[in-house]
Amino acid sequence: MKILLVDDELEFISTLAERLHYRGIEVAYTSNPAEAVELVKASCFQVAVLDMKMPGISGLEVKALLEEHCPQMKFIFLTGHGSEEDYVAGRSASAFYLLKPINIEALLAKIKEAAAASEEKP
Amino acid sequence: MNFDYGLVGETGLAFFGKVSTTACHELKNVLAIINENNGLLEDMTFMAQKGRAIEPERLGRICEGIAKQVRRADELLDYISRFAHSVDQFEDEINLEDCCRLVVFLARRLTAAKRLIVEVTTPPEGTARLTRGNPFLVENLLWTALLEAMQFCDNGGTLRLMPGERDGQPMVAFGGLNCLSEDFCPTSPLSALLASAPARWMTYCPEQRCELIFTGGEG
Repeated sequence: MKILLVDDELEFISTLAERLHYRGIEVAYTSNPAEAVELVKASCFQVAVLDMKMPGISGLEVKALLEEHCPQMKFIFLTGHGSEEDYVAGRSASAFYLLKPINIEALLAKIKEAAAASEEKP
Repeated sequence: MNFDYGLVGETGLAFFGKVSTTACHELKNVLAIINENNGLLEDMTFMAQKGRAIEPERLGRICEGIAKQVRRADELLDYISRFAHSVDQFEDEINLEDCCRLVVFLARRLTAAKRLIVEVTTPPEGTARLTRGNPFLVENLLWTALLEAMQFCDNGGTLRLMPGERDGQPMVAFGGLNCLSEDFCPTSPLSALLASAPARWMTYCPEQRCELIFTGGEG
């Protein structure tokens, strides 16, 4: 399984990537949304885990950019806010949604669910 | 002081809300990083129990990562505490340089969205740097002025806040506004805050700068 992590908190995603790697998941990560687009252009991912709010750009905007290049990719949004607005936006974007700080087992379950959905989608 | 309680109150609540949500967001990120580092230690403990060696250097980096986040949260809470206590006094002596540094810190997530570098300069010796006023109102005024001023900076540019004086009155100049236009007019929240402080707003297009001059304070 191959997933992409995008969050402006580099230390968060680098540590999370290491933990996912220990669990047998191939992970690429970046704190730069423009670089995320380049990574997706180079190689498609089954699942992207995106921060809901990054400086100057929202997770939903990043999702739209990535989907242009990899339409079958599924998305999991992470947020520290947990506001109703974020929840509704995340759900309406046909994505999965988790609150920070995250539970790795809960994230793994969502990743597996999202990856299965990605394989179903033509 | 002449307060327009309606608009100033509404603007103040919006300011308080924005600062609070930004601080919550940052603290959640700090907790998320500490949580992942803790999880990584658990993973390494589990692997050590299975016979895999733990690298002391790696452990040291994880500990340093946690300590860094503790320092980050501590600094944030110091600023938030100062901000929260600014409503304690209706009127007080305000050090404009300190106030600028507080507001720039509180707004750093917003300025980072434009990849702006924001600098606060120290006024020269002998320059008035104090004003009298409502501390929360002055913070709100500087915050609103900063957000309006940053619209006139290119992404990735440098915005400078320069406390000082103009004709003996304390002021804060905003420099580096390379997109400043002659027709700039302060928004109604900024106008209401200017009237309440009281302060006036001057625009100097050729110099690419604006000045916020406190007309009711003491030098």
